[in-house]
Amino acid sequence: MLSIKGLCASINNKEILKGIDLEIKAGEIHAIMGPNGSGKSTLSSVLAGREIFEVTAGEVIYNGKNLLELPAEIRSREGIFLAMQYPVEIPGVSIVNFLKAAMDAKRKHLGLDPLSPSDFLKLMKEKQKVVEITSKLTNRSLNEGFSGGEKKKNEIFQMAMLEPKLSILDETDSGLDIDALRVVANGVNSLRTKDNAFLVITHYQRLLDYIVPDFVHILYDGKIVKTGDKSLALELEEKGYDWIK
Amino acid sequence: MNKPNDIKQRFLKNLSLTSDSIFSENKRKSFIKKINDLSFPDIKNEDWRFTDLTPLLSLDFNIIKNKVTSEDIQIEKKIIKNLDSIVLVFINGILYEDLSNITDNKLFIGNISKGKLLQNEIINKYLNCLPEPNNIFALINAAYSVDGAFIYLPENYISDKPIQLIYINDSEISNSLSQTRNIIIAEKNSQLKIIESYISLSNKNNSFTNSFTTVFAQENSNIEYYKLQNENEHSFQINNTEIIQAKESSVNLNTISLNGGLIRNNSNVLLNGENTEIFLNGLYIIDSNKHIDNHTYIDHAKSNCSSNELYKGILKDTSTGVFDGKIMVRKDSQKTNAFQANKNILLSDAAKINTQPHLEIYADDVKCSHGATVGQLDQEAMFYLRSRGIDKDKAKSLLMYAFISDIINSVKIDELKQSIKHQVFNKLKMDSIL
Ligand SMILES: Nc1ncnc2c1ncn2[C@@H]1O[C@H](COP(=O)(O)OP(=O)(O)OP(=O)(O)O)[C@@H](O)[C@H]1O
Ligand SMILES: [Mg+2]
Repeated sequence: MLSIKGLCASINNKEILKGIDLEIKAGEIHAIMGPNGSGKSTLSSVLAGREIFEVTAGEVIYNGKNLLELPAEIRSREGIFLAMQYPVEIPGVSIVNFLKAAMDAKRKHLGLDPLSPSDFLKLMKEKQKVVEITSKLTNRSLNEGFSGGEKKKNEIFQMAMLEPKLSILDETDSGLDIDALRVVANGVNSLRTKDNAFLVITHYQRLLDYIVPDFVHILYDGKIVKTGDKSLALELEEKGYDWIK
Repeated sequence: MNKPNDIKQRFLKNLSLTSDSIFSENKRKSFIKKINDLSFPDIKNEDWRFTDLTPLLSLDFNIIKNKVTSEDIQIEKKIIKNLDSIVLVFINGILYEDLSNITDNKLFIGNISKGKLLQNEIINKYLNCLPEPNNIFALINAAYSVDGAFIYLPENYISDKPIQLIYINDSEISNSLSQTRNIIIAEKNSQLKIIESYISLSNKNNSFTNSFTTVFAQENSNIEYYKLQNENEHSFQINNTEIIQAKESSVNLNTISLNGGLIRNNSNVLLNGENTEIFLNGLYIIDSNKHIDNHTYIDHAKSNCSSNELYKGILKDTSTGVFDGKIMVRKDSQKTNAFQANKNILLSDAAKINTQPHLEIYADDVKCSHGATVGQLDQEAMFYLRSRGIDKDKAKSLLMYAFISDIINSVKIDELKQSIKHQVFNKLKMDSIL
């Protein structure tokens, strides 16, 4: 599904990603762990098409397409979703309108008619249940005044609505209470099929008890320095990052 | 080079004194004398530094009194849909009663010449309180205006139907001039809603609106006042509004400017009694080489009053804007609350806004804050929307709408709010999913 080779990226001429190689196949869950500032969010932003980062070398092939040539909105319509570490507050844009616009755009791209308003609302209701959020929240402006945990849940709600092929979760677990963590994990697990894949960025082994990864990668100073199975996360929890330096 | 006097002569040559006026002939002659001694402001004038009137002053104007019928002007398309209201239609500054719909007989509404007949003592009382015109455009209006709305709410009267004042400029035959002189009086404990719409009827020639409105908000009255400016690019407008508030009154003035070649709004508020409040909201969205100028002046003349001012604007292309907000707090006006903000988004490198607060505070127990921002659309928010599949143009429209939505949502008349939304969507080239 996704093949990253020798990816380097910088911002303001400062190199942050220094040669990333990563293969993700349909049906897999990959976890990325790594110390603060190692480049995890940069990698997810580059994959989602954030233009402030400059790709200086390498390639990313996504389902046979050269991903780096596509603008952010096309990547999204092609099935890439980024649950952001810091979701932006956008006062004045209601979640309903925003999601309808997003869904319509995606369906148009795929050659489908837009959902009727009633089908759309039905789908909203259904997906709200999956992530256990109420209409009280989804009737508000996008993330405006949401608590940290509500913002994260809202990301997963959007993911559930858009049914992406590749979901990148950037520290979605940070700032969640135990119940919310379980909800988010259930959301991911219930959306999981043999055709989609997840890239889960986290600092805590705890999340990986719920979302069990096939692979765990350690990102350090812009490079993947170690790859293992879920036991690698346990090892990190115990020893910290000193031993990999 | 044209001498200032030549410009004035040409500009005024088609104007003459007529019998219909709220001011006596003697008074008008004294105004004309003053006009003769003054010249039009240029950009060396502190009040007009960023608004150049040269394009306006190179034109001359007529008062056109040609017959129009309701079919010609399709009035039903110009009033706000589904809104049960009283309607007054002015074309080139003259009231057309046959196009109007005046159904409420408990309040007095009509034009000024009628008002003079019907409400003699009352109108005289208020006419004697009108502040003297103090600049050349106010003087021209005072000397040559022949018509205008006169709205009088008696004590305790609650007008549930909004009053729509439709000002149409018809410049089909030649440059047109509208000079309404409006007087709005809300007596003690009364409540009033007014919606003004400024519209162009023809794309030929130019139009100039030089309107002057005085609002008396008496004790404990409540006025909601909306101005919608949506004329064409050949229009010029100088819109003067002065509001005089007695104690415990509350006024909400909303100025929404969506189109017009050059617009200058002078909104002056005198808080002349204790415990009054004024809300001034403004919204402007302009493009190409148009110009919008909002000058506001709030005079806290008494203690325990609050003023709340929020103007937001989006400027595209080579358009230019001015916000100049003056707040005066007099020496004995303790416990004053004054808040002012002007926020702008510039969508191009060539668009410009000059924003300037002026605070003069002579009392010591005062809460006063002001702020101005000029920025672009938030890039993080743009990326957020695009990362969900929304294309750049649509994301821009969504964010622009988001930026101004608080002003639109503060409109309290639902049908009006829908109408403004609709016009804003058109302006921002959005479909109607919102
Ligand atoms: N917009 C930016 N401007 C300048 N430097 C940036 C910018 N974004 C990221 N960086 C730098 O890039 C490096 C990697 O940041 P990134 O956010 O990818 O780290 P991270 O691994 O996600 O860290 P964390 O665990 O704290 O979320 C950091 O040194 C950061 O300061
Ligand atoms: Mg990060």
